[in-house]
Amino acid sequence: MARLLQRTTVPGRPIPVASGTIVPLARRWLLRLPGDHGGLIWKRPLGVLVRGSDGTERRLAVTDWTRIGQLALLVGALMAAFVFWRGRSGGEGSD
Amino acid sequence: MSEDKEQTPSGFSVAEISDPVSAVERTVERFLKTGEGEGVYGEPIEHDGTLLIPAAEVLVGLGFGLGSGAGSDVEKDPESRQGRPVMDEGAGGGGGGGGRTLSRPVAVIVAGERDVRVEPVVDVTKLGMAALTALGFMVAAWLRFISPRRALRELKNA
Repeated sequence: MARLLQRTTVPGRPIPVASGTIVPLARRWLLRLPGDHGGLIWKRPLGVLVRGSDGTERRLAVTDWTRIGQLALLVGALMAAFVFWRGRSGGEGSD
Repeated sequence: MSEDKEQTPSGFSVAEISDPVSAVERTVERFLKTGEGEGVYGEPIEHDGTLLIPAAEVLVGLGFGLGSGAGSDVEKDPESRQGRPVMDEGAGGGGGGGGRTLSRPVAVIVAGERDVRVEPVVDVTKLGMAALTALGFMVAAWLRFISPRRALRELKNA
């Protein structure tokens, strides 16, 4: 039986460049609905593996700054709400 | 017999098409097995000796539902049916499904003559929308948590 949630790292087709070869890497999340009635696939770039012509290998990460910014705003808003709530609780307690 | 194994333009056999449930299940199975890494990295674009590879986040959703039912109604109608039992029965079925694909650029991989680097793509519109939503939430929270205290103070002063 297939797992409900699967996470795999998928290497892409190697692309020859001037300085060597690059292999794109992607992260794939698969959520299956019960009874094989559908599913959800979320794929995002993970990074690239750069293989130099001299044999060296290094990995460059792909950072999703838009997502990081959205999460930072969400956390900031929740923290601000918490501070307001604490302020009210403190104010009520001192009265 | 050979008609059942005949392939249709969609890739399914006639037998599969005649059984819609298994056809849909096979479609879902194929959908879940395929799409390994496709769509995340676009086709490389060469520009002035530099290779540009776009990278995007992809979200694909697919779902379907099927249902069927049958019923019968036995009654006696002596006048019109001369005492014979009248059996009304019927059966029906239906189904539906849908899917959606969302994609958003995340970065561009720039492969120059000597070096490879990753240039991020920042979606300012998305961030602006998120900032406005967060601001609205914070104002609503402030009004919700601060106003009662002020109201209480005003009542005490009155």
